[in-house]
Amino acid sequence: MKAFLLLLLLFIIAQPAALVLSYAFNNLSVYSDWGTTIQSALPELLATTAQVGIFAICFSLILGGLPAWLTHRFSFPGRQVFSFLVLAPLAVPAVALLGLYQEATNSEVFSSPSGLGLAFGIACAPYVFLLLRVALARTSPTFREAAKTLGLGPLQRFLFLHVPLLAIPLLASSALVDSEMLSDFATSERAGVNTFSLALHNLWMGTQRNDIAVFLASSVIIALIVTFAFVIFLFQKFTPQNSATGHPRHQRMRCRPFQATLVLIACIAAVTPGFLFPIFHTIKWATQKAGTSPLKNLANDTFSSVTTSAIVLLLTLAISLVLVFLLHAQKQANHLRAVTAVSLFNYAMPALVLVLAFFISTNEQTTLARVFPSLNNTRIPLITATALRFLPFILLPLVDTLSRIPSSLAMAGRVLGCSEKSAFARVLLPSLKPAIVVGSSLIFVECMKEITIAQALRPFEYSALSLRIFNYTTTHQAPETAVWVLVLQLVIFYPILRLQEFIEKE
Amino acid sequence: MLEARSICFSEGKTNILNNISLKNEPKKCLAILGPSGSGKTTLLRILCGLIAPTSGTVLWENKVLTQGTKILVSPEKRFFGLVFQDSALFPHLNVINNVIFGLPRATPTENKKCAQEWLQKMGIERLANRDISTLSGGEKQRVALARALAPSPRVLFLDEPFSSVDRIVRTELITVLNQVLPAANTATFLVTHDERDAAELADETFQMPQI
Repeated sequence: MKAFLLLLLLFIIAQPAALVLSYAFNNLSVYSDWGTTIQSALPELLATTAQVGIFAICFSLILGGLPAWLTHRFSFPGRQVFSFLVLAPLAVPAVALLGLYQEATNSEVFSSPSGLGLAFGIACAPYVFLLLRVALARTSPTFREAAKTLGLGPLQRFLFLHVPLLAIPLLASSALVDSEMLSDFATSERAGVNTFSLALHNLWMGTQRNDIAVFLASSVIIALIVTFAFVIFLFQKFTPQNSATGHPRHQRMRCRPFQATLVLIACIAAVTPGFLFPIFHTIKWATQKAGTSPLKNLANDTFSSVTTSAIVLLLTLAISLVLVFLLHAQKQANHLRAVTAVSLFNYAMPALVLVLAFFISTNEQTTLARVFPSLNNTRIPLITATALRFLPFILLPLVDTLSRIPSSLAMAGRVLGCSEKSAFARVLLPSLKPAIVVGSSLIFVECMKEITIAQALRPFEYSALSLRIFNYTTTHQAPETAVWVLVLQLVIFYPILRLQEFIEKE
Repeated sequence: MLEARSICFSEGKTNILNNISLKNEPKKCLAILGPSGSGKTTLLRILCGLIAPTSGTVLWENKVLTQGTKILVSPEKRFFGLVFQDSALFPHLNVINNVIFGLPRATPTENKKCAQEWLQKMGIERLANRDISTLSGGEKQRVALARALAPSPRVLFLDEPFSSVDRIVRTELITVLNQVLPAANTATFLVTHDERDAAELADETFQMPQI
């Protein structure tokens, strides 16, 4: 029974990529018609996408990494407030951020790869902040002290100690920013920059042919498999073999007034692009629209967004806890890591490829489509696709926390009279609470902002906050966008607050 | 009486335990002595039923608990107590709730009273409502001892209980154990690498053979 359940879950997780690849393999004839066209356009597409990706990574590392280091290292007035403000861009879809900058500045920069990279960088900076803050908190300060006593200066310490120690979170941050960028066609469309996702979207919508879209999508999947293998190699290479024992409490450096002023200025500079500038314009435009917004639409959108996100959250939570119970409780932690890696693949794939897999499975003559003929006019494909995409957001914190829980804890539970299930519920699950809170907050936030999957797989007459923001942004209705963004921010406020609490506890 | 017969355990091609046989009676303390890496903790986990040996038998009052690679009686049904080297206190519970954790499902008041009595015996009743993270190493080990002894186990396993505490705390813990163990109807297994621990607590010693 357990093995069957495990196989079923693995099948569900791996199904989208497998489906697209098998569909492409069965329709190889399309290569003769479209192969040359796609091959000629591909190098330029990839170059533009890579350019945007590099800009996004650089900007997010600056905007997320700098405040992570400052709030970790120094004690200064308002430190916790800044920690929260750095996370604030989590509440705004990248397309709305780009639209806001375009409307507010009227600058051509935001219609170029660098501007698009900046928008993605601002939108993804909170993730970099989150990853680096946690990594910094877990790095023993004794390393720094040892390096100091060995005569290493600040630059040497940064290059030869901090960068290698933080290699994994830096790599993970870059991969995450790239995945977000690769997945989002809406922001590229708003910027008018032809990235891979936008090209896939336009090709699919323009030709209305699944086989052509699948052909292009399968090339991404193959490229991702190669990239994944490389990234796993890098992770294994950089993972410290001798983990430090014990983590003495970090003592934050108390700043003198001059130092505190400099740190404050740096923090304000870091939160300006993601919070201060956008919130100023959002409130300004929203007040222009005050009293005239159709409140009924706003309430309906909020309700449908919250319910969809809550269902996705419950589904991902259930899947991940079943996986953790089946694999970790059976002392198969390596298998759990492997399943997490497979689920990461769904996140790394452009969301449109995931959509394509669901589109094929529910619209083409497949068994699934025959079994559930009315499936594609319900929220089920939307919820399932979103859950599959964001599953790693909860699996990764769970796997990380599990690796830190001593095995003696569950053993103590067993010796004290707990069965396997009872030890899981009474000992392991409470210890996993912080990971569940972090994962759930991230999934809820991401589902509330999700546009690509919702746009393609929503049922008839379905509307949500993010979809409305996308529509208003693409039609340059800044005041309407501002109202919906503010409501989105209000709904996401609490999960972000929980994330900030988690960072402070770490 | 807990008895282990011809216990062998190997991981891959590495033999960790080779033909170990030992037994211990209630109210007696048997010290299992051996250097680090000699398989003491592995043997203890096999006796508890947490892992299965490659071959051999574990019996309680002539009833087979483990036979070869099969664990016939799961650890939660053996009514044994185990004190871990790292205490293994549950971080989501405070001191008293850690002690209550293993008590039979009686009324909450009875459980609380029993836990308080054990905390008193260990001399840490004042810590009842403290978080685990605020305790010192010695306090943690006292809580772990109270937690293991509160359900009145048939067998108590102590896995290097003094390895993470200083000399003064070690002496205090040994004094407490010497007061508490004779009163409990428990067969005690003390796993240690330190012959002084064995001399001060144990009635008999078992030397782990070198592999």
